[in-house]
Amino acid sequence: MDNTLQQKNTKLIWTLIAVVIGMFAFATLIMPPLYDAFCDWTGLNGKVELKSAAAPEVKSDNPYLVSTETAEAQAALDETAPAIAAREVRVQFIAKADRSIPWDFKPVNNSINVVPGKASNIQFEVTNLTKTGMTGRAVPSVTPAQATPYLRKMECFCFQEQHLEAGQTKLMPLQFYFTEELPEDIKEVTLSYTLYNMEKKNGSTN
Amino acid sequence: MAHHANPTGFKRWLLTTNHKEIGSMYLLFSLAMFFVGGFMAMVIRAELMYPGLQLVQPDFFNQMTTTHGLIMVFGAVMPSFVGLANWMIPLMIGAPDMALPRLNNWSFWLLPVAFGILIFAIIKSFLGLGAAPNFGWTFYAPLSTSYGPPSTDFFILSVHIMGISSIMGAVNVIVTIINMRAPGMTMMKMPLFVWTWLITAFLLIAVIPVLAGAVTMMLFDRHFGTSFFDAAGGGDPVMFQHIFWFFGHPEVYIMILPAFGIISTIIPTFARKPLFGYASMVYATASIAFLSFIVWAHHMFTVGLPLQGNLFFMYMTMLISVPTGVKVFNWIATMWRGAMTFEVPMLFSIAFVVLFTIGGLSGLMLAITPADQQYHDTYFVVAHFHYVLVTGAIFSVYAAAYYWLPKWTGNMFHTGLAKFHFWASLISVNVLFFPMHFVGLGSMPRRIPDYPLQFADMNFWISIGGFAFGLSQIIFLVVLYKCVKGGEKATSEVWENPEGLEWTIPSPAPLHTFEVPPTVK
Ligand code: HEM
Ligand SMILES: [Cu+2]
Repeated sequence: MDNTLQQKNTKLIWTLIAVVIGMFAFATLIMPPLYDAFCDWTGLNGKVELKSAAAPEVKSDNPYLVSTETAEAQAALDETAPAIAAREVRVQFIAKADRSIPWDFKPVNNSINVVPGKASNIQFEVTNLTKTGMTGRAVPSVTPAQATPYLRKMECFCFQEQHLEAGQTKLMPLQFYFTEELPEDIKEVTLSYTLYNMEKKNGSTN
Repeated sequence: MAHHANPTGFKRWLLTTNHKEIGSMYLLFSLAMFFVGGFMAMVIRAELMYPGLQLVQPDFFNQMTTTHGLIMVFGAVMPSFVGLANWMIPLMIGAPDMALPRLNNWSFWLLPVAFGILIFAIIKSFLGLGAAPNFGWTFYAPLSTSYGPPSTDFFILSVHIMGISSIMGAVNVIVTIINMRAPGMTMMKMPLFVWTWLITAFLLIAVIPVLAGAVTMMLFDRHFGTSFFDAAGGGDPVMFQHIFWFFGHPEVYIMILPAFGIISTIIPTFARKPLFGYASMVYATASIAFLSFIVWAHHMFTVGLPLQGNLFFMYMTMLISVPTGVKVFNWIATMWRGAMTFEVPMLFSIAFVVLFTIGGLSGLMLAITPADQQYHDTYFVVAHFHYVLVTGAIFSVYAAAYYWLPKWTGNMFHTGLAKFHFWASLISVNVLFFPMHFVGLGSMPRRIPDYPLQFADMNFWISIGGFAFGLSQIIFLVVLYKCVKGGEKATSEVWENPEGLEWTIPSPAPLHTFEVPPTVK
């Protein structure tokens, strides 16, 4: 083989190897954080970070919860104020414990009807079925995802770790409302919570 | 070039760097894998012949569908095209060998290792020593992470090894085509098989690393405490599907672009007309390759993507059928008013055009999001991809084998037997796969060992078709054996005025060819 061909080959091979390494890095190192960022940005993962954490309508210690101080929240909480929206949305609740955590976890009501703009409270009951104390955390999800930007949570157990002693039962509150801008074609929303064990696994891609 | 004393026997094959010998080994290996994977298909069809569980347990059934898919995709279809590339690309571009002969040897010998590991896992399972991979060839998380059997680690190792082999093969093809063409062979004079393989090789370079990334992340989730795909640690199993199909859809084109090249080579020979629309074929291939990167989520219409996402992927997928349609049009236009004869390679090619198009049409049905939400994970999808892969990719490999076999062996094959192979395959393959459309539309799920009674009659006939198709492939072994052993001597042209440099050398092709490059006008 003459020299120039050998040189041309070597150069091309290294270019191709660079592409291979680049694509591998893309899949393993770039794609997962990009995917998370994309889900956060679009709210597809059921959590919407509400504007900047410093905005007045956001609770200072948790960017996923709204402050109860705003006019919108006040109106939602005020039971005497008439609702503007003359429609009801059915909200269903699903609670499920991951196989990593042998707890019993269920909503007290399976579904309720809510009026957009008005706040509702519901509770979830959780029991530690094991003989040891354990810590778990629930991860929320909203279906259809299009409803996510209109969901406002004022209180949710899902943003804190929950510690339960052996055999202990606990009621966990959720307080939320949908803003009145919730699109008309959404007539049913499912809020689902999956409980995960926080004891052994703390590794995370986030 | 000085030659060392050539080793003989097994060592000759172990150490060879000759593109023809490596090509033959690839082809024979893929044929062997075709029969191994085919045997698993026979187990699947035997179980599904009647409703209820007769032959195997559900878990073993899942291991059969998983390894059948993996072996057919990575062990039969892909290596057969690499084998053809090894044999034919140097001959078609007037090069003495592949550019990187030693790498070539290595990339072949990795394959028996990779598939040895997979087959070992199945044998182990058969002996009752722990389940083989059972999560489908798509190995979705969490089935393959939290719920995968211990043998999943064999699977991961095996996929890594076959991936390295594919990447090395692709690098070799690209370097050969870019740097080793005979003087005068410009890009737009290259035979289409060379063109389609060049584009395929680029697809391989781009997406096999993504597959390697997916199995690497799986490995880390399984053993090193990460949570790429595990919601418990903040990961997401849906991300697995995005990554897998970002590899997976280009992968299905990796399995069909070389077939397009083969068909575009064979039809002009037997229609006795130059290929209609050479340049448009090249551009169509390139645009299919490009589009194949932005349609992956048509495999994920039911995971709950936002409406805009579903719409985007639906339109992009439908767009792919435009360049595909251009190709089908060009093949038909090539045959139009040609002086056609129906030698065996041509029979397989015509069957390819018709049956691949049926697969393309069912693909188009699946591309429509609301329709796919009904068809997804039913036998309709199974029918779709077997039409494009069996009557598409595999028929094209048969067409290629019959077309070039006289060049490889120096002997004509037994035409009567070969025609028998063709007709038996053609009829049985349709009995096998056509009714799958109907049971699929009737919503029979894929990958299940048992089914409701209303699907019983259809499944009986599907199984009969399956056994017939399996048996028909044994005829090919006979044809191959007879052709290697002897038969009517082939001329160097073999067919009537075929086009291409490979027909300017004697039959059988001597071990070393084009040591002095030919001049292409
Ligand atoms: C006109 C061209 C094509 C279109 C529009 C198309 C469309 C689709 C769609 C939408 C699906 C997903 C179905 C579902 O899971 O619900 C699918 C599945 C599939 N297609 Fe195609 N396809 C085309 C061509 C091909 C070709 C050429 C091949 C391979 C040679 C192929 C191989 C496959 C495979 C293997 C699957 C199933 C993957 C799995 O879930 O196991 N398709 N196709
Ligand atoms: Cu696809």
